[in-house]
Amino acid sequence: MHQVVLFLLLLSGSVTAQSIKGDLESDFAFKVKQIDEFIDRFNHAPQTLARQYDAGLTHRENLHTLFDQHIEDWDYALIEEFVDQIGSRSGEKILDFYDPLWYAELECSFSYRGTSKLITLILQNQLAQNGGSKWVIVSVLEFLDGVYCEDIPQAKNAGFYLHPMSHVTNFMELDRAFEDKENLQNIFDPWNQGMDFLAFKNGVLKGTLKYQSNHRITYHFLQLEGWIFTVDYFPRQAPNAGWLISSLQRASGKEKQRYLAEKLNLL
Amino acid sequence: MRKRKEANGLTAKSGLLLYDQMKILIPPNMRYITPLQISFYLLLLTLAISSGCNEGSSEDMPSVLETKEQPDTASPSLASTVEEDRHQITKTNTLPSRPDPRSGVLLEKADFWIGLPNKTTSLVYLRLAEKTEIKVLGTVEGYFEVMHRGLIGYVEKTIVDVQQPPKEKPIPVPEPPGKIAEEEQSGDRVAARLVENGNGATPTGIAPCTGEIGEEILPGISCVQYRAKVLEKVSTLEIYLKRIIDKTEVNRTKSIDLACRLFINEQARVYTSSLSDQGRSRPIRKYLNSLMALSYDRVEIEWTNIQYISDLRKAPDGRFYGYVHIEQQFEGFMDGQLVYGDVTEKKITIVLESYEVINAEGETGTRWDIFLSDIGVEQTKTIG
Repeated sequence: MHQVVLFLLLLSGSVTAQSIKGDLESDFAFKVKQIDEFIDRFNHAPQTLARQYDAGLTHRENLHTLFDQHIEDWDYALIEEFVDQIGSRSGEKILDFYDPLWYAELECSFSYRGTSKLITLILQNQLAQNGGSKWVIVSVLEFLDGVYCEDIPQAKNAGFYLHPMSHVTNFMELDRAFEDKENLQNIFDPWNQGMDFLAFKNGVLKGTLKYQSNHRITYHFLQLEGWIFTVDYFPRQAPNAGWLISSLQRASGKEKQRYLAEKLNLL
Repeated sequence: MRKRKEANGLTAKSGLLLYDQMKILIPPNMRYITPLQISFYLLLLTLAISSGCNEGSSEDMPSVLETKEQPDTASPSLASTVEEDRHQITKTNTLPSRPDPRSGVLLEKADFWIGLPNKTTSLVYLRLAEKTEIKVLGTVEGYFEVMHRGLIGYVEKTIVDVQQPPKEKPIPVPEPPGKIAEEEQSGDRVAARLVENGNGATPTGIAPCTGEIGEEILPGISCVQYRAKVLEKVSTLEIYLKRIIDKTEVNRTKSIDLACRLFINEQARVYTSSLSDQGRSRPIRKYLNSLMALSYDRVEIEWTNIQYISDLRKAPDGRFYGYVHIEQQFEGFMDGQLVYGDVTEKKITIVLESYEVINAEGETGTRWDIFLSDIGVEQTKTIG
């Protein structure tokens, strides 16, 4: 029922079968294939395939297509308010890859003392001194045994790190980066000196924690004033697929602080 | 409700339809490349390489560009165009324009050859359907040199209906390189604290690669060259993949060696995920060896959609990273029967590396090359 309502909502935004040519041919054009493409679509950038496929697509319509239509309990009034607000800023660069307040949440499997353990890592794209950037692990959501007050050693050289396009292949470089013990610090945020974070870093360094794989990625966007939303990957053969908004909430500065602390174990 | 066609998946035909529609709908300054742009890019890259712009490319790779250079004597008109363009580069150091290639339509099914069909190294890369639209670049020994989905190959002349060249379009004036704006957070304490986390640096302003002529993404590297080089490397990889899988090929291990040389190093990994099971990642050589074990009598690989080539982003070690996203249809045949097929999306990480060179006169210069790195392969549909 809710899907029908959302669909009607989309119709109200003129995203009809005709306007987005809702045949199979449009799947690739409208699928949000990368988070970079999500950012471009959100900004209504002219070079996106969706706009080139449907020249009449408006910013409001583009934003509507970024919501996962399969979620049944959307607050549609909230979506409309959000779309109105963002749509009124059309022409601006609303989201930027180099924004500080967005994060990737990775659910990973580690082998820990002989058993497989799910550990969630929080990553952020951070700028380097040379104007480049890389992804770093900024926090860990699980608490591990042991009290650690000392950080792991500084990296000896560039070694492995998570380059700024690591997200494209779902951070598969973590495999190698966790094995490069001499340069392990390259993949961590040196500013986080929390006990749980240090325990995780030391666990990886000493080999008690061994990375196996990652299964799920969620992006958290907190940089828009008054809003927090998350983006998840929905792999299906349909135009409404790929990286789509999976949750949306209004949030003041204080609520964002609480979100950072409670959901992402930051601050 | 949204109207959908009968199957939940892309077929080769639907891919063609999409592509044909795109050619009409997509404006020339798009980030996603049309065959017209690709042919233009490849020609310009050929010129750039021949004028010493890029000495880092591997010589023994069966590049699509190499196949294009062969028919010099057989095609005087094309050769003279190239010579004129080269002259223009020498004099002005700017990228020359080239007349639009002619459009053509196949009158019947046709073999799409990579390399001239009379060469021992050539192969039938695709079998194109009747009425497929192609771009005709030139004529060589009874064949048209054509562009199809980013690939340059050869098709028999007699089965192509060549249309009149389109009217020349004005060359758009490129925008100045865009500056990545620093985000201003509205007094939010949280934001202020986390901005400081970024070492106080600002991102290096890399001009977005929109496909405009003359656009430079980095000093000395034009957008055109970058995109053409990416396409060349990816096309070459596809050729090797086909040879590795095809059990009638004589030296498949050599193809594995050559394919590995396209990568930044052999630590590059391939992550594969299918509809039925969890994904896994393997080093590139191990992945290619596993492909060789598949062994089909005949393999057909087709890019079912246009590809997306991203802009570049700088990393802390000075390298630049981008990616190309392509959708590929694969079909494997045994005894003439389709035994396996799927549609996959491939996300291939691209690394641009520059290096210093010293010429015979002792002068230093900077060269660059594109390498492939980690690949994510996501299966989206099975066929048959």
